[in-house]
Amino acid sequence: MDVEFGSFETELNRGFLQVLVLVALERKMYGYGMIKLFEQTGYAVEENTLYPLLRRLEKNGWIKSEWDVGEDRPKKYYIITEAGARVRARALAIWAGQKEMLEIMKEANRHA
Amino acid sequence: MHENIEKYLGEISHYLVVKQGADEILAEIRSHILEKAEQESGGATPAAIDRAIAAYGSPRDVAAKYLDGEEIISPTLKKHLFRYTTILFAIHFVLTALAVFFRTSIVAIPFFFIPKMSVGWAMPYLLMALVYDFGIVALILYLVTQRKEGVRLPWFGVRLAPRGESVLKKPKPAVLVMLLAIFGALLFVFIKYHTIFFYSIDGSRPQPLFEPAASVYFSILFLAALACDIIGYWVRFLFNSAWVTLAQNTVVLLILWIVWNSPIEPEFVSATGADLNLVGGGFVLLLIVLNALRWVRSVVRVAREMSLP
Repeated sequence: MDVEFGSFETELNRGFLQVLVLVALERKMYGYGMIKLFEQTGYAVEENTLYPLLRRLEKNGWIKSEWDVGEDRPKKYYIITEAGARVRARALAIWAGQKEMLEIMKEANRHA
Repeated sequence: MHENIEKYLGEISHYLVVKQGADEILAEIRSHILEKAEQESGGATPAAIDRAIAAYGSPRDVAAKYLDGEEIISPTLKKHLFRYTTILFAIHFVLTALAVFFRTSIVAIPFFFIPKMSVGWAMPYLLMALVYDFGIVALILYLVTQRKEGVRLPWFGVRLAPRGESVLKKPKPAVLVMLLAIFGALLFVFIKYHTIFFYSIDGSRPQPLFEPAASVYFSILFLAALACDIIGYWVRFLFNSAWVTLAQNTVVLLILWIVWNSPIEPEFVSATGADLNLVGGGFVLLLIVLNALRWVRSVVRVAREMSLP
């Protein structure tokens, strides 16, 4: 049961994490900082999941990156692009629509 | 330079297959591990780094996350892999049979090179040919997958069994009982007379077909082949899979191959009016051909079974 739910949860999170990253990258951030930020909001992300995701989003042109070598250790910072912002707007609209649909269904079940 | 980090990154690099940016991926992982060790353990000590590495995951899993969507062979081509291999092997089989029959070589480089060979050598040759055919088809499908342009491959839609059903019939207990009865009877005869092959069974003293040494040797081989068939049939009650019949037929073919290439000459008892060498050789050849056909059928069934939904 737990194994099945784990797989189900992974499927649910896959799309959500992409939207979450696009939202978070409104400002410049690096990987470790993003993980800590998500943890503060109660959402745990495995590092070996986040970095490949960032790479795919960058490949799509939705985010861009640059290395900051000015600090004691080089860090790769990411920020959303204009194309990414458009995708984010559409994704949030879909998510809002889905949320509304769920509320309607739940409401309908209550009165059934 | 932290030795454990570099060792860890080296292992990831071993599994990481990306067209470009591998160094950047590794640099980012290095940066993350150092940052995590410092932030969460108060410094990049070897113990803190080891903890951060352990949390990051096994090198193989880490590399695999970067390969998401980069299949070697597209899952949509799985059925093609087995169907094409079956077709290619069928061609290979027919050409090999012709090469053996006409005692000649057949060359169609780079697809076929079938040397002149005996029936005995044809069997191990065909096993190698199957592996080769699978490899050739896998290579072609790999190239098709890498092109990523939606190449539509031809599909030879011969339906051998209704989709969704097992390609094998269910084994019947009555058949198993019959096979066991035959085996038991032959075993009884072998224990009593040290052979299962007779030239004459007239009267109270049956006449063995071979001299004593050859009698025991060939009887044991034929009993072993029959036992293998019975065991295969019995296993199908537990796992009714084409793989079982393939394994069973492969072992039987190997036993027949040993019979054909026997170091012991089948010394027949003297008999007038019949060339027993010719009759015996013909009988074994017939068994080889029949079992080779059974073997090819089981290969096709395995391919079919693997392409079932």
